[in-house]
Amino acid sequence: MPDITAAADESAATRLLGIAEAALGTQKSGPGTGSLGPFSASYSAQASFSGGAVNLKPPNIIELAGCNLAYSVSVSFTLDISKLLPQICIPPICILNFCTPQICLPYPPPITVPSVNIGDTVTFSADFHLNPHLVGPDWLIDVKINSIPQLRFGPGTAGALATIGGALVAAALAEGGVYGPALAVALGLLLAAIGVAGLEGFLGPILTPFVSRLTFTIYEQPQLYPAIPAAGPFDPVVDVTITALDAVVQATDKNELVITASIAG
Amino acid sequence: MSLTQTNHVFASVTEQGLNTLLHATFTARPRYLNYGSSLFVKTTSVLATNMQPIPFPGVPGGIQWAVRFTIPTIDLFPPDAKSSTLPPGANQFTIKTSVTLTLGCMTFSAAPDNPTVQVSVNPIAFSLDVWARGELATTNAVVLQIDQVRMPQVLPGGLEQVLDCLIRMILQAAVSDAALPLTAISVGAFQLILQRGPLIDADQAEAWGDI
Amino acid sequence: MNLLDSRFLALGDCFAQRFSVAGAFTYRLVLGLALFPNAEATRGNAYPIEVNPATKGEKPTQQNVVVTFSEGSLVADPTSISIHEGDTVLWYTTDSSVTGFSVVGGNSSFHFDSTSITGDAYYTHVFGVPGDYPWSDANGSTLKGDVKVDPLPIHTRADSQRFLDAMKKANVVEVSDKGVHPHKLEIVVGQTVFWHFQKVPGVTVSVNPQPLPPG
Repeated sequence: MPDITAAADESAATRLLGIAEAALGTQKSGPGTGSLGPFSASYSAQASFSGGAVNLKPPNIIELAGCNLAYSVSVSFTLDISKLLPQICIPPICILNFCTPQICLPYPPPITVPSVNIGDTVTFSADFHLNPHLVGPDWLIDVKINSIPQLRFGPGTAGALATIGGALVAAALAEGGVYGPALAVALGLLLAAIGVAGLEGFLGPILTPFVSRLTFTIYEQPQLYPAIPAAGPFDPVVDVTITALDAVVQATDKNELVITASIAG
Repeated sequence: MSLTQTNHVFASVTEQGLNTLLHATFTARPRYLNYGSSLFVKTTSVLATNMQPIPFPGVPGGIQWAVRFTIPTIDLFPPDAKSSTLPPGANQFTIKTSVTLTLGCMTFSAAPDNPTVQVSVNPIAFSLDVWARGELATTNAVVLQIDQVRMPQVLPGGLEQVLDCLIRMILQAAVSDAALPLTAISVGAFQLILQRGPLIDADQAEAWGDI
Repeated sequence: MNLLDSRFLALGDCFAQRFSVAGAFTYRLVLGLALFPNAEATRGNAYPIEVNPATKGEKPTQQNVVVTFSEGSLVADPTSISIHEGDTVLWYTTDSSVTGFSVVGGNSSFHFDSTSITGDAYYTHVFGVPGDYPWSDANGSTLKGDVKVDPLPIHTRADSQRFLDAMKKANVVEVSDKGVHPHKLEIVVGQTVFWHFQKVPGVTVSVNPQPLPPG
């Protein structure tokens, strides 16, 4: 029989998980590359987690419903105008017997639009399983995601698309030369065609790695556990050894997260 | 019935676990069980606590003394057979220890050719088994609160009463230093805000609250 | 787009010279601001123009010469021209790496120079950036004018078509001993202005002109 038993109901488990989400902090990924419609893009991203309601399911499942993933993605685009617009050629212009030749205007070099920053929150729900284990000198109870959830994008995605559009059009007009105005129109039409769905398709593979291996740590203590901290030069720390640790979900009239431990002096 | 019942969190420690914690505490901090005046404990250390001698007229330097307890073991309700001397009732515990009282016995002598009084001190001691019964109390830690002490050795009535009271007072002071933080009874799983308990039942101490 | 200065021909500019006298001529292409007063004094990249007597009833024609930059020097294509009296030779480039060239040539009786235009010649320039372009003669005459280039906002495909249609329209400024007409010209971005020179004492069309170093 274990020496110590600690239990938390779903309300307390939700708060324990909230503490673990905050402790996870901001995760980063990238740099990476992707495609948004015809535009190639490089990106770096960061994400943090918060919220969600916990449903405890025996024997060891924690369902987290409506967890928020707040993301910030910095995207750089390269616009190759030769792939977006036909070449502009000034036709021959004649006065009486004198005509200028046709002059085709060269494309400007590819335009780099650096660091367009977009951010919003997506939500997801997923099952996690409890994983108590010893890592070096420490006991951990991890809550580890079972499978990759579907990300639900919010209404802010449309704003992100507008932010990208604004940055691309501004760059087109600033650096596109005589192609600038036509390029700006083409970009607007292209982004409208890409739409929110296209942007979600671009962001999905960027954000999914943040959740595909998502693990929260709800318990972390050294195996040599300081039961009473030191309190002066004559009162050293009182340690006990946690020789075994387990975590399960028990169902009675309430579903509870139950942590048990055996200790030795 | 759920463990948390009408509260959000629950923590419990078994009788065996509590004995492990008490043993670890008094092993790391033996001075909680060893006290003595300067003849026996020159200065406070991890091993022993220095106390003042008892001042008395004509006793140079005061009466030198020492008290030592063995590491107590605890029995939570319901009583084990070993606690038959003072079995714990509902929501109670019984601890078993032994106490050694030591007196620095002084003798005074004067030689015919030396008017200065010679003082010699000879430690004399006796040991008694002690049973103590009480409940758990909390401030923001779990504390053993002793209500009653019994020493099974047969003693004259008045002396037994005096020693019962003296040992109860000293033992209470000693075990009060071994207060267990609430996090200890959840091995750090969460910071327990106590709302109910700790109560003793089924050979374990239980507490309920929130985080 | 490129600078408005007839002394430095680049992508979007043309210089055309009409040859009204028969004869054998040569010309050189000069990169940058270096000038030689006599085309025949320098060997090397001298290109021939043979002007034959006019054939009665034949309409004047135009020959175009494309100027490119190859292995560190300017190259004309075709390398020789054969025309008739009254025909025009036009020089232009399609090479965006050619940042400014001039055409200097002639023979003992006729001299032409795109940095000092005298007559029977055109200079054309495509305006790619909206703005105001007050121009004057860098060689010191009082001839001057103003070209105002308006933007043509493009928001729809119809706007794009309007832009393409506008590019086809010619805008002419006559520069002669009688002056400049029109003195002020207003166009939209992408359009071409033709300066037609008649009987002028060796002029340029230059914005913010700096005088050339003494010869």
